[in-house]
Amino acid sequence: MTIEIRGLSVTYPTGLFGRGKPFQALDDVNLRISKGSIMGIVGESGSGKSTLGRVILRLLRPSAGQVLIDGQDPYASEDPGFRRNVQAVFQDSGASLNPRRTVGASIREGLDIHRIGTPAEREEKVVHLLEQVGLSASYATRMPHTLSGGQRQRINIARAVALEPKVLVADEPVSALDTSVQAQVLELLAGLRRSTEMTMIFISHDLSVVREICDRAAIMHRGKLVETGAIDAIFEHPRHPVTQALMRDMPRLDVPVTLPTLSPQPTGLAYVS
Amino acid sequence: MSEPILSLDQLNVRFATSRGSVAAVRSADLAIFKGETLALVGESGSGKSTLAKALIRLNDAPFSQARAEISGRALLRVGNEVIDLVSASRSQMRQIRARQVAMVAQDALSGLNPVVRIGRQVAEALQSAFPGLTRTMLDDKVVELLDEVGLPDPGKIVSRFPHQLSGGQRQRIMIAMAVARGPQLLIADEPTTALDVSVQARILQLMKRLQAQSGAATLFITHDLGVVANFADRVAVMYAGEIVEVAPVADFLRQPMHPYTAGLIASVPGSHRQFPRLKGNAPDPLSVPSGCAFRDRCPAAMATCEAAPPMATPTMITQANRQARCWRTAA
Repeated sequence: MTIEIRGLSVTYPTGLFGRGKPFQALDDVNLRISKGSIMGIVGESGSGKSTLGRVILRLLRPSAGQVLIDGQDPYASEDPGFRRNVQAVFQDSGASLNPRRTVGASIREGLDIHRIGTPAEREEKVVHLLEQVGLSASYATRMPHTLSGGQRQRINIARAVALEPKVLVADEPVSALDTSVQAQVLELLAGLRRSTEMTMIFISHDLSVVREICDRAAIMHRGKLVETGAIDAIFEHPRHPVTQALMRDMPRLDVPVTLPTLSPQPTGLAYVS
Repeated sequence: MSEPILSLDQLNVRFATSRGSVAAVRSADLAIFKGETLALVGESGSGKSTLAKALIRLNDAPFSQARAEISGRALLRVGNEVIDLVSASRSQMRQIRARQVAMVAQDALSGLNPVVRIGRQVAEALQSAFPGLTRTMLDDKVVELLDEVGLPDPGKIVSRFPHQLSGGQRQRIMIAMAVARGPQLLIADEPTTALDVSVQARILQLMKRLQAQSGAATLFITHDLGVVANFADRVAVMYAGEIVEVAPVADFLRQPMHPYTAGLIASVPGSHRQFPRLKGNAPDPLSVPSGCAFRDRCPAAMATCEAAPPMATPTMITQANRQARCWRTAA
C-alpha cells in the first residue's frame, strides 16, 4: 500500500490542565512512501519519529493534516480491516507480549479475532510463522520470559505478519538487541519484505541500521522533516545540517576490515591482505 | 612496557542460582596500563559487567542478593603497594572505591539520589576521597568540577535535582563524581548507550580529555564496535564468560584473530561480509558446551575444539601483545 502523509501536525498540551504552551510534536510533515518499499524515519529522541509512527498506526489522532493509506484516511473511514492491514513491532520485545500467554497463543490471537481458517489451520499457520522467523515449532508452547530479547522480537514479528498486513510500522525494533542478533532480525525483516511486498516504516535513531535495510530515509528534527531521499544519496551527500551532524556523530568502523578467510587446513585462520 | 595498574590472573566469578551454579566469568587474564583505554566488548550475558563489578566487589553483600564467589587474583597497584581486590578486606575495599577505582554506570539516574541536590551529591563524593576539605573549599571545588565536565552555568546546577537534568547532563555529573576522586582506574559500564549519538560524541570527547589530563586508565565496557573504533586503545572481547581475544584496537579491527570477533565485526550494519555473520545464540550460562564455548556457532570449528578449552596464547601472527583463545590461531 502506498502511504501519503499530508501536512501532518500533532500538538500535545503541556503544563497543569494543559495551560502551558502546546508542544508541537509534529509540524507540517509531508511524505510519500511507495508500495513495497522500506522508509527509514531517523532522528534523535524527541524529534517526533515515534509520534509519526503512532499516527500512521491510528494510535494517535493528528491535530491537522492526514495520513492516506491507498487513498483512504483511516481516521475518517474507521475501516474495521485497518488493524489487519497495518501492524506494528516495537522496541520493548517483552512489553509487547502477554506474559501469561504462550507465544503460540500470542501469535494466533489475530487469526482468532479475524476468524481466519479453522482452529487446526491456525495452529498450522503458527508453526509456519515460527519457522519463517527462524524458530522451531516447539517454541509455540514457551512463555515469553523464557526467551531472549532476540527470540522475543522474532515472536513479535511473527505475530505482526500473521495477518499478512500490507503495512508494517517497526519502531526501533532492533535497538535493544545485540549486534549479532540485530543483524539476524534485520535479515529477517528484509526477507519478509522480499516475499510479501509489505510497505515498511522503519523508525530508528541509528543511521547505520537504517542504511542496512531501508530504500529511502526521512530525517526528522524537532517535529519537522528536514531531509528525505534515497538512502545512498543521504549517506553520500547529506544536505541538511541536522543530517550532516547525525552522520558526523555516528560512531563507525572506518578502518578497512580484513576478515579471516576460512582455510580448509586446521593450521590457523588465513588472512587476505 | 610499564607495570600494569591492574592485572587479572585467572579470575573466576561464580553465582549460585536456583537452577545450579553459573560460572559468569571464567579464567580471565587481563592487564590494564596507565593512561590507556581498554574496551571490554561482548554481547549481553557475556560476563563483561560481572567482571567489572567483581573488581570493585559490587557482587558482594550488601550490594547484591546473589552472592558471588570470586577466585583468582586481581592485583591493583597503589603507589608502591599491590592490593589483591579478590582478597581485600571490606574496609580496604571502601578505601579503594573512594579513591582508586571509580565507576560510571549506564543508567545515571539510578546512580544519583533523586531527593538530594546535585551539589551535595558531588560534594559527598569529594569528601569521601578528601576528608580534610573545608566547607567553602568543597563548594568551590564542586562548581569547578561541574565546569570541568562542560556543564553550563554550574553555579545554578548545584541546586538542581537529578530529574531536572537531561540524560547527557546527568551522565556528566556521574563523570564529575567519578573523576573528583582522582582515580587510577575508571570503569565505565556502557556510559553512553542510553544517549543520542550527538550527546554520546560529546561525552566521549569529555572522557578522552579528562583521561589525557589525569593519566588514569579506563576500562570501557560497551557492545558498540563503532564506539570502540573511535575511543579505545586496546580491546578485550568476551564470549560466554571468557576473554577470547585481546588486541590493540587497530589490529582488532583490521585483522581479528578469533572467529567470534570476526563474526561480531561482520555483523555490524554496513560492514562487508567476507566472513559469515554470527548465527544462533550464545549458550545458556548453565550449560556452556565442553571444550571451546564458541564451537557450536563457529564456522571454523574442528575436532580439537570439542576436546578442551583453548588457552589464551600469544600468537605469532602479529605482535606479542595479541592473544586469542582459539585452536586455529594457537596452531
